Amino acid sequence: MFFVPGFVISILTFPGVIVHEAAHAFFCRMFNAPILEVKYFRFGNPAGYVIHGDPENFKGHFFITMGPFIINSALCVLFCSAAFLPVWVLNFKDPLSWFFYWLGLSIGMHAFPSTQDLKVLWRNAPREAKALDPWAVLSLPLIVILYPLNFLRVIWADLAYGIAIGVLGPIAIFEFLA
Amino acid sequence: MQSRQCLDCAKTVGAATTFIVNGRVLCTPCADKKVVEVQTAKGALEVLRGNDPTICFKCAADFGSTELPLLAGMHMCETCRLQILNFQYPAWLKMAFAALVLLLGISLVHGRSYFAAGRSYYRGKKLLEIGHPVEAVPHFQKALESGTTSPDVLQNTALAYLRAGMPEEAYKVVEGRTFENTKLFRSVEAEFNRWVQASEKANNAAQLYKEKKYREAAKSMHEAATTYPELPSFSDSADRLDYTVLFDAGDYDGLVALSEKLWARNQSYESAAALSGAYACRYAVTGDNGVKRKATEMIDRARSLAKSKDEQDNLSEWQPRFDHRIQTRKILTREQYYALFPEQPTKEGRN
Repeated sequence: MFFVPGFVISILTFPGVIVHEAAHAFFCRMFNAPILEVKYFRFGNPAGYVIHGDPENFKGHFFITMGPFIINSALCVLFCSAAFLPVWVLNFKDPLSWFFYWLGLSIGMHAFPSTQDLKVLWRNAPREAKALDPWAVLSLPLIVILYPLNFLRVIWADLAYGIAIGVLGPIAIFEFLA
Repeated sequence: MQSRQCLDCAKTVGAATTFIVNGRVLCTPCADKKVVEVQTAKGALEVLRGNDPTICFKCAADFGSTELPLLAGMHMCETCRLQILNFQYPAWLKMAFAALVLLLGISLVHGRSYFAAGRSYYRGKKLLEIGHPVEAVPHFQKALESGTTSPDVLQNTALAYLRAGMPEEAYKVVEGRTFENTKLFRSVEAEFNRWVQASEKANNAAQLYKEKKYREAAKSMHEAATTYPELPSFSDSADRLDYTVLFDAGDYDGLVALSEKLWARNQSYESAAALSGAYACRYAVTGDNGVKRKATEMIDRARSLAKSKDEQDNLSEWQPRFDHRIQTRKILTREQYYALFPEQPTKEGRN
């Protein structure tokens, strides 16, 4: 295992940080959560953030927290699928494809919701789940999986996730199409 | 601006500069000290920023003694409140979003040229995995047309060719290339070895045939056909050798049984001509006109099935010997026939 400072990773994968924060902001607006402050990218820790008020309902909480996870993962799979064949299967030395692959992985690497976001969701989820709110029920297993993964970022769990969906996603698509 | 008294040092400071550490209102220096103490003692820690309802959270403007309304739990002046409620994405972010969508479009258009090749490869691989190498071959060929030099594509293509009974094509695909010693490589190598073993047995059979050791030749050719059943020419040669063994042994009933079986399996010029010869032998022995009729019917079938130049040449060589057998009821080998009628045969033919 090797150590790379967080700010270096953030710079190398800046599109992912911007997409993550923009997705947060997008869902805040969608669910009427006032955005008090937003940084789409900065040279610091955290590399980006959105400070917002509470949304109108739990569905809003769910999407504000999980929205970036969904958007970043989807964009990662799309960009990586477009570049997967020349890069991994057909072995072509095509710089444009490598660029798209980097873009896809950068975005996928920043899919995980922050621990802070998950805590907010966790605070509200059990109560709403008891009332059988489907979003709360769905959020429980996601929190259980994503919370520990967040801590495993120190051992590159975020990169592993990006690679996993950037490789396994396209493989699944092409296997399905075959 | 509102003031608060620090509960540790009793100093009066601006409310906005205070912190609430584990429920106690403290000035900034005392809060820093307290946080270090709690952290050292590994105790529970909750830190909140002190709140001054007369100072705007966003622009920090001091509104004297006027308390500002709350928005999302924060005191906010009207200007900032409207700004937050009418949140706008910055222009650069909108442009970045447009660029991202454009890049996504470009990536999909750019990747389109690879999709056909990639899809063919995956389809071929799937067919190969479920044991349909013959159907997989055209898909791999299409993938190769993209000009790929991917070891996986090349080796899977070679594997499909080998399992489809096309070892020469398989060799052309991997000729002059080096591969890592992977599981796939070992599979391809094992298939090539199987082909080489079968070829050696077939060569051995050819040698034994030349030495007129027909029985041993047939045995060796059957082994070749069993080792590499994908190549039909091995089993065809084995059948031809069986025919020679039976003819050589004078087992004409066996010859008819074998030829009928081959004809039933594959109605070709080759099997028709072979069956006509077998019936002709049985007629020569029995004089049964029914068998003679069958023999002439089969030579007619052979004539109608002879399409290629080779088949027509073969028929031209075979027909006079067939007629001689029917007319004289004498069974001569090819060599015996040409010893009697010394016209040079053009090619090797049947007995």
